[in-house]
Amino acid sequence: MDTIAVFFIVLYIILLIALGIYADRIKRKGSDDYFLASRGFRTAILFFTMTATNFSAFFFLGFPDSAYRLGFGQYGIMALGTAFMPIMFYILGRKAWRLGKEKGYVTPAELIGGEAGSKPLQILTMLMMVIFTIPYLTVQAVGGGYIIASLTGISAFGGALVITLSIAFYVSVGGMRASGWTDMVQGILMFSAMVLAGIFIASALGGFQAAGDSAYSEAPQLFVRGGGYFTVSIWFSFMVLWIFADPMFPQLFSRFYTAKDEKALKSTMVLYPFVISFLFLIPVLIGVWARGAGIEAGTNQVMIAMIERYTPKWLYYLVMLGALSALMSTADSQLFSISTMFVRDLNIGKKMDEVKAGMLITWIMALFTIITAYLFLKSGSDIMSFLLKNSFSGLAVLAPAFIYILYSKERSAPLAILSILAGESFVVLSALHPINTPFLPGVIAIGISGTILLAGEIIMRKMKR
Amino acid sequence: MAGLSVKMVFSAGFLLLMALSIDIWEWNEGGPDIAGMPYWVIWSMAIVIATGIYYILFSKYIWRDE
Repeated sequence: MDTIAVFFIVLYIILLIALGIYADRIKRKGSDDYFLASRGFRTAILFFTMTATNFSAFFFLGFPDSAYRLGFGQYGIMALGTAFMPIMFYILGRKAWRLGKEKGYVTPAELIGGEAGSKPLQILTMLMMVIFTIPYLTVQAVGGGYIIASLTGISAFGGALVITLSIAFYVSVGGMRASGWTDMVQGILMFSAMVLAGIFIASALGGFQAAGDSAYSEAPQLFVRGGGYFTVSIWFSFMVLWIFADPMFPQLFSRFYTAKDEKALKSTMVLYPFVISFLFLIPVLIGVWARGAGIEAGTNQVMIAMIERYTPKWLYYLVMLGALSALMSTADSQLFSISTMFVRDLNIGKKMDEVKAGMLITWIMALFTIITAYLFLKSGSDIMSFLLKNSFSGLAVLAPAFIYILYSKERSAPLAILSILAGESFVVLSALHPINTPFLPGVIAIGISGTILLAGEIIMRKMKR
Repeated sequence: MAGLSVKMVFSAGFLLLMALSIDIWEWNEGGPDIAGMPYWVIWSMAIVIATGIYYILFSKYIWRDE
């Protein structure tokens, strides 16, 4: 057991729990404060909570791994799509913020159901969001388990248990404010760790040019997109998918409501591309450089292998804490958004205090996550893998219905339900029976949902005349 | 509220950025050209930064606070 690693992990978890307890101390009465921090996040917290929630374990571990296998194209599909995505802060976020403030909406499903005047639409949206978020939450817990296991020598399940219980504690006591504050700390930690990792590794490899030259001599295919995975249609597909899928993650959507004012939302939209242009490049460079350095690593091990070989031990600890921060900041927001949806969309808190119901359901969902993490680690659950593989597509098909309900004059709830069901059916069918198409199936599913809404709108307008 | 023509200019601008991000003219090219990266990675970074500048203008001329 690495006692220094254990010391840093314990210190880190104590800090997060202390923030949760402090958030509880200063909380005001009412569910709006618990679930949305009284809709009072200013730019700094809103930006960090959005980005830290958005950047999961994939940012630290998956990104370098993909770049190691597929090359620089990984930067393009992630950075460009994520840079274009914030246009949704205007299309969806601005409306959600205004209507949420005016009518007291707390969850994404409350917004679409409330504006359409349809409880079935609300429940369907909530169910889709929960179904496609739970596998992601499980994977974050499992990823955290592996990191803690590698540092301390305990089992991966033991690590997942520590991570999930810590998150459940600080989020259940401190609510959205605790989630936002811890996201800020975690965001600063993971961004600093990534920048330092890039600087140290580049320096050890003789600089950017030398590192790039040796990677090119070993694997020139990583520098070219043509002839490989990154076809023009796949490139385009990822751009469209991120724009529609990212804001549909309930943990991101619910943050639109937390902005203190529109200025905070606008500033976050502006900052997003500038930070991404720089931060997304570092893990991709490390992944490509690993090929030139002759690293041979297993799945999600490229970053760890590079850090172990080229950086001092203290930076190794910092990067591992950064990776933990990336996945915990995503997981806490997912856990809290799922419990919020159960309380608000299913009216579980109607007969009891909503805040108490929120705390209770957070713990129930945490226990459920521990069970699913255990099953995932033991047998590699097929259902979980299936949902995880299709979660971006499954969530993206909800976006056209949101845009339709927020902007159309007709606002037909049955039409929105039909578009969601048709899109989800295509996602499931294309996953079970893969079709030969140059585009990602998720993009075709978005097209199906959008076409149904557009055609329905035109027909209804003509019938009115 | 921004006028219709201003909105159309901004919509066209966004679509142009998306179109420029698909740099098919460099699709089969690439080497350690600048700081060990291919030219097209620098191009992608430039588009991402241009998108940030676009959002600055967008928040000034299209997205007005209530």
